[in-house]
Amino acid sequence: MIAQAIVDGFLSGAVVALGAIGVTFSLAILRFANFSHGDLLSLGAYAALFVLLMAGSTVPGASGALSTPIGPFSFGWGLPLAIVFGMAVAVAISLLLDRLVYRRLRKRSADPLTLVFASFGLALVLRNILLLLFGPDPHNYSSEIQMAVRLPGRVLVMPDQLLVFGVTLVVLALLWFFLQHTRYGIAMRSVAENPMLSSIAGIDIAGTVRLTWIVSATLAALAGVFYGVTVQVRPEMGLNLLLPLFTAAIIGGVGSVSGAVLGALLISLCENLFTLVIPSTYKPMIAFVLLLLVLYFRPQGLIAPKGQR
Amino acid sequence: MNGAAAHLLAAESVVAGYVPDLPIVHGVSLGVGPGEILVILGPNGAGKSTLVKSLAGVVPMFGGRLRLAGEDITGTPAHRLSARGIGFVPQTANVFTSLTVDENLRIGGYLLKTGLRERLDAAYARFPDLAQRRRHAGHALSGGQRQMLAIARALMTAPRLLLLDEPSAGLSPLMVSEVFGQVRQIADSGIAVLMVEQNVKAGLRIADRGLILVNGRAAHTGAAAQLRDDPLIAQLYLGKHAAPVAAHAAVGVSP
Amino acid sequence: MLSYLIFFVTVASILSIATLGLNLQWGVSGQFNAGVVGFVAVGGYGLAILTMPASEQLLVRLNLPFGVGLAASLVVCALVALVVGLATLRLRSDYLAIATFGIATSIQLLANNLEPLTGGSRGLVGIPRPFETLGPRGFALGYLAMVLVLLAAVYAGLQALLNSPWGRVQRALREDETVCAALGKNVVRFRLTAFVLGAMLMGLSGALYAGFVGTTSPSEFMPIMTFQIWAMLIVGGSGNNRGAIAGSFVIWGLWTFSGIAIVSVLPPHFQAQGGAVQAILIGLILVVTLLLRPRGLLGARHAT
Repeated sequence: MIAQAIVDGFLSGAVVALGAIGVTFSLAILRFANFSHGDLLSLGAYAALFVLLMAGSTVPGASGALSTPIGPFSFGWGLPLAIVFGMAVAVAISLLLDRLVYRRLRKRSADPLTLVFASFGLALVLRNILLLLFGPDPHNYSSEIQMAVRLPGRVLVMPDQLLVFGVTLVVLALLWFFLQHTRYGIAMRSVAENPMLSSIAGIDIAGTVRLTWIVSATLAALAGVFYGVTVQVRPEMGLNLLLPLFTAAIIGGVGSVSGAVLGALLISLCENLFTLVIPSTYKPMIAFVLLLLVLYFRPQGLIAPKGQR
Repeated sequence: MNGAAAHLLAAESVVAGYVPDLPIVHGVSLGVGPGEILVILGPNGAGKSTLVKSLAGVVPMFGGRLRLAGEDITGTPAHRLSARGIGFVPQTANVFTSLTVDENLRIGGYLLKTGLRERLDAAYARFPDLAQRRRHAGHALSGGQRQMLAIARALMTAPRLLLLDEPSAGLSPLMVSEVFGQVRQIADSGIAVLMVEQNVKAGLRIADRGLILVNGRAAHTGAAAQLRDDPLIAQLYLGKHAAPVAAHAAVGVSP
Repeated sequence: MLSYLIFFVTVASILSIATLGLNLQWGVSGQFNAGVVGFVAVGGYGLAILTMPASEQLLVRLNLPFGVGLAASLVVCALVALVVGLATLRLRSDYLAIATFGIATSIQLLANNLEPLTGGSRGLVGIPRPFETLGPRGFALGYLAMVLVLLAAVYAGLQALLNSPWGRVQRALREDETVCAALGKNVVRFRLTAFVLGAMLMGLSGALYAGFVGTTSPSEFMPIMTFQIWAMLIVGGSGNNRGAIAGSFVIWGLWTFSGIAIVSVLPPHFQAQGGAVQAILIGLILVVTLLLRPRGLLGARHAT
């Protein structure tokens, strides 16, 4: 039982990690708590769903090049295409909202709370537009049944979950490389620490802001689709994930990617382990309790990058 | 030692501050030529830091003009000034503490299209202390090493003008002398240097000319040698606030 | 028609009290509460739990009188606010937003699931209220009178508070915190008291609401309420108590009107989505007001 919970924790933690990285960038570089980030995950998930609905892949017995399941997984080649579309939509909407709303507010006022407030309102709008377009019922990307894989220790996992976990590891590695070894990545890290010093070195903050939105939205869309693949696509999924995402980013230390990942894993593991003893309906409270603990005892996070606020 | 025409940086009647209704710098004019060190002195709150920050584009300029090698650069945003050849070493938060020494320098060379490797090697050659600590994070450096890193970072773009805000702040006398030695060498290599300094004695010792700022206005200017004997400086040195004396036009004042 | 009007004014007045509470937190003290509905719910459930007649299914069978239950639920609200406030007040301002969002989510969760305490998803039905013996019309008028009196008292109290030295410090804090800290004012304590007081007003609102409708359940306190109350505050001009009350009436009017319009305009199978349309409206009101106001959310500099 415990082994299963631990494995589940790792597998579902991957999704939270991808979303939490976007949140930590938001907090560090854009400098505000983006309350619409969860709905960015939903946006990516629903955009991908749209593609699959068009391709007819979601119905039972779906066939054809895009719908026929690949190997042991529940989805066909339509899903990778749908993911790309989902990412594109999430990025486009993020950049559009930055241009229309956030940029104007940044110019007008240095108070981060105006941005938080805007994201709060935008989240409501985004969420309900999705609700109007797709209805309140949950969706699945496909109706295919998968065969569970048996791991040592009487642990059962779905092939989809393993793939999601594997892809997440690859994405994290790519992200690490980007941040450590590319010019743009180091620029993002420098702006996260000290925007003034970055601009005197010649870094255009506005460009870095755009890049941050692009990276965050791409990761969010991927996280959303992965959630849709391993759980379900639901209109409130973004809202439900928001608290774990924020908590993970804060536990890890604002601006730290590895911190966000560790925070996500911690939350996921706790959620899965605690639901062995308490009813699973209380799962969402675990993130909140962890949040309060971190805020009371170590608000700078576990892996606070040294020298940062 | 330079006439007006030879000034690399010419600032005319600079009005600057954080909020438009409350300027801190009131119409200061100055000039710095290649190879010379102009030191900005003055009591606390005189606006020295605000002045140099406004030249660096970090604090808004509400009035006046800035010319670099004759070209009007007034209103250029901070991130474009480095491409124009201006380097700035702030007083605080002047290195990236979460990045390594090497990464700090790379950020300094962010705009370089080619020749990054050469510049890095040159920086390490100039600051062997940093070369030994390439992989160390900024927060692991001592105060003196951080100052050197901050300067090295600013030099990565081979600026024509280097602005420094109180480079000696918080350093031991030994480190101050090392830092100032570096600054003198930088100037000797042909770069124009404008330096805000609280340490009047040390500042005037390495500078060629000085400008005294009081209450946001240029109170006195002249060759460093002469300023050292100026009674106004003595008052400043002893910590008394001096009333603004008639401002001399700073541009083109030759000893 | 008249009874509908009484109903409208009663609810709008009850919501005004919550808006006044939010104004204290935001307009006066500059703190962003992203979980307003949580505090309202605590008040509502607090009253219900404490005053419900004893019954087998319920854990708490105190059956306290209305007034006592009301006061007690305010105390609970204050405690919850204290927990959240103490955690975040020294930290960056958006952390309070996250924490209040978390508390609202948690309260909704607890309300839905702690059946012996809260009645679960069905909630608690049959809350004893004052004026019940007067018959339906008597109850409506009596309750309305009580609410209006309370609203007036809260308003007067807030005005007095804001014009007091305490209020002046709050305003100064909002303008420049570092100056006040330098002057020796305990910034955290001032912030905390404003936050807790504001939360108590929200709780009062929730309790009055629960008393008015006679039942309390998770569906009475949905997340959209946070947005409604925020809209009420900023449409009226945040920082301004009179504006808060006016805004409450305006937004509540808009909400009910749009609800009626949707029901009559949309075909039946779309009506469930009607709530989504209203939500989008509220969201747009929030964002557009933010963009159009030259000083963002600051509104009037004076909180009177």
